[in-house]
Amino acid sequence: MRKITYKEALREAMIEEMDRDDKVFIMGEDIGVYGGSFKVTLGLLEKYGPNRIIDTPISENAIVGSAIGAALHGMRPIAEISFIDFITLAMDQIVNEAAKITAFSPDLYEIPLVVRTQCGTGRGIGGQHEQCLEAWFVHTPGLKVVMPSTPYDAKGLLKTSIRDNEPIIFIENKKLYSIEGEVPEEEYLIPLGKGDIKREGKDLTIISTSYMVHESMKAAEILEEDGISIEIIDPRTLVPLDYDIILNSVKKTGKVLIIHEAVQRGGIGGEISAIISENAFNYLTSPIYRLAAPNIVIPANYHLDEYCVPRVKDIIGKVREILKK
Amino acid sequence: MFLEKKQVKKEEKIDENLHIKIFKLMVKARLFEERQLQLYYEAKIRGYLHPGIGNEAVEAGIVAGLKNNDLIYPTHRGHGIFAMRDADMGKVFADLMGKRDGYCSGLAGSCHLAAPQVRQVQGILGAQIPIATGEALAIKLLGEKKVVLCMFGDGAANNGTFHEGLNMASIWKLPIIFVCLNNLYAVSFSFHNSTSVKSIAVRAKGYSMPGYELDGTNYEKVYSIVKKAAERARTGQGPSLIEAKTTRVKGHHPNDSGGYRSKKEMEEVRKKDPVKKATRKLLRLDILDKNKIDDIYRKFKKDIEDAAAYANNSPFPDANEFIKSCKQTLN
Repeated sequence: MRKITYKEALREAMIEEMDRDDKVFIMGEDIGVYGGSFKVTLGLLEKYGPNRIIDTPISENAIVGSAIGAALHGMRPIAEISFIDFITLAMDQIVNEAAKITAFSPDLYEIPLVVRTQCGTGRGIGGQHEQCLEAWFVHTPGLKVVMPSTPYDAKGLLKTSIRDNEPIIFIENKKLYSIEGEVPEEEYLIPLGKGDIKREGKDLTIISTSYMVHESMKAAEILEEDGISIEIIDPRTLVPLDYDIILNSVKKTGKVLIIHEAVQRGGIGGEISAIISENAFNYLTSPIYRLAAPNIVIPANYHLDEYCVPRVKDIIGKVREILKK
Repeated sequence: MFLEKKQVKKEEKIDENLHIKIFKLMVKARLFEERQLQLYYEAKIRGYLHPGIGNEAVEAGIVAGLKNNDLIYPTHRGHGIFAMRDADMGKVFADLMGKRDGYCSGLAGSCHLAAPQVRQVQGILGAQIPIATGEALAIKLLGEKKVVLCMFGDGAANNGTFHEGLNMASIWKLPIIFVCLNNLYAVSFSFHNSTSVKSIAVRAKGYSMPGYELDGTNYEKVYSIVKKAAERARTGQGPSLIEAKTTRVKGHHPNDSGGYRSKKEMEEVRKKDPVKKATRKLLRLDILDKNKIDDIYRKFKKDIEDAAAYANNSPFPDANEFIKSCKQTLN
């Protein structure tokens, strides 16, 4: 099968959906001539023109707000917030308007809106450009939260998200854009709420998201040399969350490590841990563990960046520690 | 562009029928709101209610100056505009009372009220400005001939949404009219103390759009300028900002005793009561006599009583059914 990058997969998804439905358009900062901060929308302005690839002022609140308004009028906007850190400026529109307008008036309105954004460390650009903030949106009823880790998932989930009639926070990761993976030429969709077993194993279940799926895979390969068999579950969408795939794996291995790049305190690891505890407690042969970023502000320092998130060697160490107990 | 005074003076003459039509809208809204207050004091409307009594001339001028398929984004203050746009008053009462037969199944209350004829109220003041701007963007992208009119208060004009929304509407020449209902108070904080300019309309200059400051208790002025701004929007020339200096006859909410406004100030406010002003005007111009005005009141009072009875008879939503019917993703 052909291989393309995560970035190309996202672009293909948007091209296919824009060709399929002329109500789909994209708006955001520097998405036109510049091609987006991470070049995901490169070439789309030439292909679709300025009425469908709309460069906006630095007005995050109005980017999401006007996308909501367009969605209320039957359009299917994709609003790009170039860094998830900037989403704080659009937080009111996401949390108080996008998530609630339909709930208050279920028979009058639908908001088919995708907010595409990206998170993650790796460039030494500090805590206003490298945070992982998915938990805030998981905590807000009325939103769906999608967090793909591979080119295949990114394409299939973005296409589904664009066709969905509820507001979706679609979170990419800056370290994923250049990662290559197999993506079929023919069209496919991935349903929201279906996780994926990224690697089968029997000794311990790692549940990880976004870039941490790749770090977990590297750790699992190294551990395999010592005869340790790791199963890796990627929920792919945090809302809706695939309970079954998580619980089935836990029932099989009895041991769980949840890994995310966001800080540990208040992160989705705690939520997943509680779900496992409530639904599969009797299958557990050890406590549920989390490995996440320390609860610190990421400094703007390239050399310190990697210490602010779980690394492959941290994962390996944590797995060995759990299995030793 | 800024404060187009000459154009304000050149008002479109309105004929007798339009005077009567607008007067009827104002009376209907006033009685509708007064009935809401009564229901609030009877504890049939619970939660929030922000009376818009005193805004009738602005709202009627807006409704009469737009076409029926133009879109109106209301403020949280006052639901008279729903009645003016012929939303079913029984359904609106039902939503305000949390009853199942409202347009919003009793889930929206006052702060999020919505109907097919008027867009949803936003409880976050000023949040509607970018949303309305986006709807105008969609209208432009789709090549429709509709206009969006976005109302907000003087308080919301100090929110960042105002800046972001007006700038966007201006750079894209969107078919939208921004109407600031300046009642001189953001809850208790006076316009004088809260705002850097004497008139919100002067801010239009910063967004390269026409700005109009006008007496919002004069429906003719509002009608005339809304019509002009709608024409500009509809013909692709872009947005306008209208500041209607209006009045807040009641407190911020029904339990607000309003100690921050002096007796003298309140006397001035009551003198500007737009419904009383309109009544005096129509009598003076001999367009309506006292009997005809009484007939208008009688008819609307009956309609409103019927509507209140409809809402009163509607059941509250069943809690179990409500949870089951929620469309939000639960897990």
